[in-house]
Amino acid sequence: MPKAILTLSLFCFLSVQASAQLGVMKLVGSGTEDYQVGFGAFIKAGFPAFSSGDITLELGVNYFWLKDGDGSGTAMVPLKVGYMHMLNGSRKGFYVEPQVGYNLYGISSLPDENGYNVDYKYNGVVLAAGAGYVFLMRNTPINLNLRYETTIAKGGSNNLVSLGITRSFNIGKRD
Amino acid sequence: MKSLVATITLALFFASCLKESIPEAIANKKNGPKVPASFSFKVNGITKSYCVDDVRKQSTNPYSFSCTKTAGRYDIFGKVEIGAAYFSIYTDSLSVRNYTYTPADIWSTAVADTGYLPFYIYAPTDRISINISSYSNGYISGNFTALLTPVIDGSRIPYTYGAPSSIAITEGSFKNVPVFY
Repeated sequence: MPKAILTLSLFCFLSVQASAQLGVMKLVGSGTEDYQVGFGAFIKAGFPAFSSGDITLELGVNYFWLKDGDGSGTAMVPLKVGYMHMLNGSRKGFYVEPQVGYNLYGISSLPDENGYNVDYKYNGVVLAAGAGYVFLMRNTPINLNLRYETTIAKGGSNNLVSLGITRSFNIGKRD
Repeated sequence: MKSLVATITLALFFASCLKESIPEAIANKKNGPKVPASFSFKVNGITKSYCVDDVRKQSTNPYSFSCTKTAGRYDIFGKVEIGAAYFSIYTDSLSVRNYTYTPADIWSTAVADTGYLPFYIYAPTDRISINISSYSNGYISGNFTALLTPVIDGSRIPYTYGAPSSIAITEGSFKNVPVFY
């Protein structure tokens, strides 16, 4: 099932306008004080749904290292559907974007009390709420955004705050 | 649109109220809930304390909190941010009750320090009272008070002591100190 979702997602990305994003992010909440700032990379496709917004599909990878390193950390691969609503009704300016999705793969490799790494694997539901600003730079849409995201699994949640920059590019037919 | 944003925002809020991260939740489900432990006391009114979220994961070299059985006694040790409290209960079978010692019982025994020189049961008016309020699942909890005499020069034996019973240990408490045999 996850492979089918991944294949369908890639097809969608190749069919419409897509954007690529890099983000700086920080895990927040219980058990996160030992993590460094993390990084994420995403590809996102937008499907025009209404005059003031797009349905979005986003596939990403988030990675967070522990401060005392040695290969320990947390990685997550969320696939999310969202709605990017432009507040002024045009394709530029401020927007809000709620998202919901599924964490295709999650792993936290953490040291136990004896110093040996233990792998915790999980999937889970992903919820996110973000806001941003779209502007043109040399005729290329650039998107600065701030997002809060939580992945819920196994009775706990991994929460993060992300600051991202997105560059749009055309792969498919859409102008 | 507004209802969708509001729904996801509320869901985010409630989800974030889950107090554990995912690895913590997995580990606690496997190992059981955390065992928080603490040690605190006042030295002439100044509070010294230390606590850990899960005493099962405490430092082991040395232990932050321990109650170690040796021949004829249990040695209790509790770290605070600077210094520690350490005293012994003289019994082969620890139970929930009060234990009180004077110099007639345990003369010249260090009970605490704040990182510099120790405080001793030494002068005739010194004493320590330890109340074990709970002993279950391998952990003890309780409280203690003491009147102690400070060492002002420990570079030579015999030590040079300060004013008798001038160190008041009050509101001493310990929670979930593990017992080692």
